[in-house]
Amino acid sequence: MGPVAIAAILVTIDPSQDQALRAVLRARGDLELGETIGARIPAVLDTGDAVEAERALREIWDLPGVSFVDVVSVDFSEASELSPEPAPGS
Amino acid sequence: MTEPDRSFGIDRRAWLVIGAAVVTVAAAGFMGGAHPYRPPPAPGIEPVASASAANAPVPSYGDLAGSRRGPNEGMYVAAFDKLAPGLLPAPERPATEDERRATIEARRARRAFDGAPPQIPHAIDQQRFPSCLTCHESGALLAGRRAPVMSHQRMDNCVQCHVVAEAPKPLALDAPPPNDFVGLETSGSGPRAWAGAPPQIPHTTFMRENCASCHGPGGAHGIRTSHPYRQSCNQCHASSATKDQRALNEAPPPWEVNKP
Amino acid sequence: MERRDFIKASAMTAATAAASRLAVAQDGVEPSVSARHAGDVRWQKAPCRFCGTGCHVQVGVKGGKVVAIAGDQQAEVNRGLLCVKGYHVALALYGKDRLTRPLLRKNGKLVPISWNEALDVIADRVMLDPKGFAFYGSGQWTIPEGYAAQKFMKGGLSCNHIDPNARLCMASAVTGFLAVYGVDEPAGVYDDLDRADVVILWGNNPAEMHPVLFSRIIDRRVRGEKVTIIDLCTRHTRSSQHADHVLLFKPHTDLAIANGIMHLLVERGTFDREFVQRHCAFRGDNEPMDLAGKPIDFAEFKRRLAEYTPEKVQEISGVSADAIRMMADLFGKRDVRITSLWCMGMNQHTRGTAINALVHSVHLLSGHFGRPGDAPTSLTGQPSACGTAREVGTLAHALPGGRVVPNAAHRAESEQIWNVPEGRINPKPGHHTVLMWEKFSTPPEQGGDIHTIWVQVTNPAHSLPNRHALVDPSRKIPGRFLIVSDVYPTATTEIADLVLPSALWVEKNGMFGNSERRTQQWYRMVKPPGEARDDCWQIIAAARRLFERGFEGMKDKDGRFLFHTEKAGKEVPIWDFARYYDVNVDEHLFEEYRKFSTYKHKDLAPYSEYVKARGLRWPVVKQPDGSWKETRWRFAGFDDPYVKKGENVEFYHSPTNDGRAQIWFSPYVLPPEVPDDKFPFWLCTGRVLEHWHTGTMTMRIPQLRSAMPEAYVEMNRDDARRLGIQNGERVALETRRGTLELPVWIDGRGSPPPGSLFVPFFDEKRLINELTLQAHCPISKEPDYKKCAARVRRLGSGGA
Repeated sequence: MGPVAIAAILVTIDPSQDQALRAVLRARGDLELGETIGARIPAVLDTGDAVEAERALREIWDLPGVSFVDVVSVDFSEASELSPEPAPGS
Repeated sequence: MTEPDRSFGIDRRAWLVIGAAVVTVAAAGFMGGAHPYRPPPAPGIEPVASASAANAPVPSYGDLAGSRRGPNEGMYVAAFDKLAPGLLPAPERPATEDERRATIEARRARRAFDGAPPQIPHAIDQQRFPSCLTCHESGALLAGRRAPVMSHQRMDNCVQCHVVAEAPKPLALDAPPPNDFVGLETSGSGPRAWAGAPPQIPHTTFMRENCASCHGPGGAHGIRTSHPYRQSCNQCHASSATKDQRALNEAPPPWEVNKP
Repeated sequence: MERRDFIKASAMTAATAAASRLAVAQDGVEPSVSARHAGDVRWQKAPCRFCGTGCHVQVGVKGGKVVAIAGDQQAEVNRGLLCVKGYHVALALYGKDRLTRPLLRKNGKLVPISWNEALDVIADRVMLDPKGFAFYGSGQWTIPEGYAAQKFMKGGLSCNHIDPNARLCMASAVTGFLAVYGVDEPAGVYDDLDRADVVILWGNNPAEMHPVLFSRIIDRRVRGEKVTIIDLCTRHTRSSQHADHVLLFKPHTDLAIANGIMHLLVERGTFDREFVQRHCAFRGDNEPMDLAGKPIDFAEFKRRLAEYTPEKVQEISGVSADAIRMMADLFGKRDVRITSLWCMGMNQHTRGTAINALVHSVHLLSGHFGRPGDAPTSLTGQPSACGTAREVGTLAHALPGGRVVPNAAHRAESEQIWNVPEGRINPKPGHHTVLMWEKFSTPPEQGGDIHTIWVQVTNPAHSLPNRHALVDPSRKIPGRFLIVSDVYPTATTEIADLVLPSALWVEKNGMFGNSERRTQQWYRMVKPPGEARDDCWQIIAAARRLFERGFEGMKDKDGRFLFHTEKAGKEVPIWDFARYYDVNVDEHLFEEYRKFSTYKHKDLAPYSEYVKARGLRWPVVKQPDGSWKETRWRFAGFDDPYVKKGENVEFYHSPTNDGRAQIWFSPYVLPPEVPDDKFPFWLCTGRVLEHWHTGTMTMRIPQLRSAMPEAYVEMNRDDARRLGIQNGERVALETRRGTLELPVWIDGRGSPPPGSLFVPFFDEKRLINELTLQAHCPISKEPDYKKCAARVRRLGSGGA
C-alpha cells in the first residue's frame, strides 16, 4: 500500500447542471460520488498524496458549473508521512 | 530538508489548517454537536426567584436605582408576566421552517414592519426617566425571562421610538383603528455569492449594530446564529451598501420614473 | 484494503452529513414570497409628514404601496434617527376610512358626486361674490400648494381673505422676529444644539414634541459632553426629567423672568456692551401695542427694567431669586454658549409677540448671538409653517417672499411676476384667522362678510379656539358654505357642505420648509386611493373652471390661464387630472415662486438642487463655480454671504434700516383670565409624543393609538386628594365656555403643580378647544391655548 490521502469533500454546483457534472466527475476515476443534496455533491477523493489531492481539488473547482469545493475532512492515516518532502521530480 | 512544497502558495501543514477552517465556517453547525456551546452567564442582574404579583421580587442593587417608591411602584410587578417567555437559549440545532416562521411572526407582532422600533410589551413609567437600560443594556435575566438587549448604541430618550403596546392605565383603548398598511414582514435571507458563502446582512446595520441582540445566543430560535463562538460578524457577513444607505448619494430617479 | 474502504465510507458519511447540515442550516427554508422580494423594495427620500423638525425618512415602496420606513442617514436634521411618529408615518396613508370621492351635502347628508360637479359647485360659490370667498389653509400645505392658493386668491380673485392655521401656532414667532430683526425666521440652526453649553427650554417640552432634536442634545451626554439644560416650565414633563434645573413658573410670567435676567445684566454691567453698541437699539411698547413700538434710550430701558429685581420676579413668577441670578450669571458669561428653544408655550400667548421679542432681547443684550451654539431658536409645529405659511406668505396681509399687500411696490412686483394687470391685487389686508371665522359665523346683516370658506389640509372645527363661537353658528346661517379638502373624515368634514378627497404626502410631489430655514423636496411614490387628488390640482382645476366661465381674474395680462403651464412650447392641460403629471407642476410653480425669494435675502436654489439634497437652508447662494451654497448662521459674518465684509454680525433687514436689531422692554401684565373662586385652576393644553395636530392621521395608526388612546386631564396628586378624585376617575372639566368629560391621570405623562391642569388636544371625541379662550395677542392675533381658568367637578356630585 503506497502513500494515499483520502478526503471527504463537498462540491457545490449549479443544480441545473447536476447530471452533466456528475458524469464528468465520475469519469475522473479518483472520485466516489454520493447523492446530490440541494446544490451539493458529497464525494470522497482518493489520491496518492496531498499534492495530488490539491491538484485534483483545483481541477474540480475549475470545472464549469462548480462554484465551490469544501474539504470536510482529510484522512492521512494511510499516507506515508505528513512532513513536507520534495515531490518526485520537482 | 528542502523548500516546502508551495503548490497553493502555502505549505501543506497550513493547507490542513485552512481545510479545517473552511469546514468550520462553511459547514455551519457541523461541529456544534461535538462541542456544544455554553453561553456565559449574563452579566448584571441575576435571576430572581419569583415575580408574581403575590410574591414581589426582591430588587437587586442593579434595579434599586430605577425602582419606584411612589404610587406606581407596583407597576412592574405584574408586567413581568406579560413578557414573552422562551427567550432563553435553546439547544444548538438548525431551526426548522416552522420555527423560523414562528420567530418572524413573533417579531411582526411587535413591529409595524421589519425595521420599525419594537413596541414595549410591558407597562413603563410614562414620565420619569425610564430605567430601560437596567435590563435592556445587558439582557438581564429576570424571573426566568431574558430582557432583549438593545441592538443599538445607548441613547437616552428610549420612549422617543419605543412606545407601549397597551394603553397606559388608566387610559383605555376602545378599539384599534382599522388600517390597511401591510408592512414588510421580514428582511428575508441575505444574498450569497455562491451556495456555501456566508450570506450578506439582509437588513440595515444602522441601529442594529449589535448583531448579538437578535442573532446572539440569547436570540430567538430561527434567527439565532449557528456559530456563536465567532464574535466578529462583519468579518464574514458584509453589510449592504443600499440598505445601509451608503449607495444613496446619487440623485433619486427623475420624477417621471415615480409616476405610479 | 479493508481499512481503506472503511476510511472512504467514513469520509462519504462525513461529506453527506455536511451536505445535509448545510442544506438546512445555511440555505435555510425557502423564505416567504414577500421576504424573497424584500430586495425589490425601492427606497426614496421624503421629509416626514408630521412636525416642523423636518426629519428626512427613506420611504420603502413595493408593489405600489409603502411597506417600510427608515430614518435617512444622510439627512443632517436627524442623521438616521426618527421618533415613533416618523417610524410609523407610512401607516397614515392606509387608514381604512380614507376619503375617496367628492361628497356634497344634500338634504343634510353627504352624498358622492363627481369631480366635475364639485368644481362647478366651487365656481358657483366664487361667482356668487368673489370678495366673500375665503381660503383657510395650513402650515401643512406644501410650498407649491400654498403658492397656488395664494395666487388663486390674491392674483385671481383679488381677495385677501386667505390665512393659514399657522396663525394659531406661529404668528407670534413671526411678529417677534419682525419686531426684533425686521425679517422673519431664526438666525440659528440645529447645529447650535451640538455646540451649546446651555440649552434653555422656554415653556417647551421637546422630549415629546421635537424628540429628534431633544435627543440630539441629551445624546451628547452619552458621548461624555457636558450640556446644561434649564427647563422653564409650568408642569413637570419628560423634558424636565433630563434637565439640570427645573424652574416651575406661574403661567404667563415668562415676561417677568426675561425682564429679570435683563435687569441683572444691566445692573451688574455684565451685558455685552460692545455688541449692543455696534448692533442694537432699544425699543418699548406703543399704546396701543404694535409691531413697531417706540424707540427708547438705554437709560430709559434701564429705568423700566429697574423694578424686575430677582426678588420681585420671584414674587411674580414663583421662580426663586437665586435661579434668576443663576441664569443672569450664565448670560453674563461670554465664553458660555447658550441656545434658547421655544414653541407653542411662548407663541400661544396673549403677549406672544412681546415674550418672543424679550427672549431675542436677552440674547442680544448679552451678546449670545451669531456664534455656533449661541442662538434664540423658535421651533415650529407644522412641517411647512415656515416654508409655506411664512415664506410663501399665505397670510391675509402678505405676499410671497416677505412682501405685504398694503405696499404698492410689493403689489406691483407680485403682479409683474404673476403677469396679471396692474391693480389686480387688493391693497387691503384680508381677515386673519379668528376674524375670518367670526365673520363666517356672523349673519350678513350683522356684518358677516364671508359666505364661503375653502379649507385645505387642516381641521379648524377641532383646532380653532372656542369653536362654539367661531364655527358652529355658521352652520345655522343660510347661505354659508364650507368646502373642506382632506384625507380622512374629521370634525370639520363632518360639518362641511362639500368634501374633497385629497392625496396625502408621498401620494403627490411636494416641498416643505422646516424650522431651520431648510427647504425640502420629495416626489410622488404611490397612487392616492380612489378619486383622491392633489390639493394643488384642486386649486388649479377650480381656477380653470372659473376661467372657462369667463371669470376675468383667472386670466393673465395676455388672456392666458393664470396657471398657464407649457412643455416644449405647448400648453399642458394640467387642470385635467389625467394630464396633471405630464409635467412637474411643483417644479413650474416653485421656479416662479423662487423669483420672489431674493427680496428679503431668503434666496432659494433651483428645484433641481433640492432634488439632490436632503433640504437646503436659505439663503442658498450661487457660487462662482456654479454650485449652490446654503447658509447656516444668518446675520453672522463668517457664514452669511449677505453680511458686509469685515462685520461679525449685521442685521441687514433691521426695522430701523441701520443694521441694528431691537432690544425690547415689555412689562409683565396679568393675563385676560386668571383662576378665581369659581374657576380655581389654570388649564393648559398641548400635545403628546404619539399624536400630531388633531390626531386625524396619528389616531389611525394602531401603534400610536394604543400607546395613547384618548385625551385625559392631568392633575396634581394633592389637588386630586383634596377633591376626593381617584386616578382614572372620569370628571367634568369646566370653563366659562364649556364642559368636557375626561379621565384624570395623576403623575402620568406629566405632573402639573398644585392648581394646574393639562389636557392634550389630539382627541376628536374630546375637543378641549371648546373650552379655551379666544383672546389673542394684539399684534400677532394668535390665540392663547395655554391658559384659562377652569374647575373640576366629580361626576354625580356637586364638588368643585
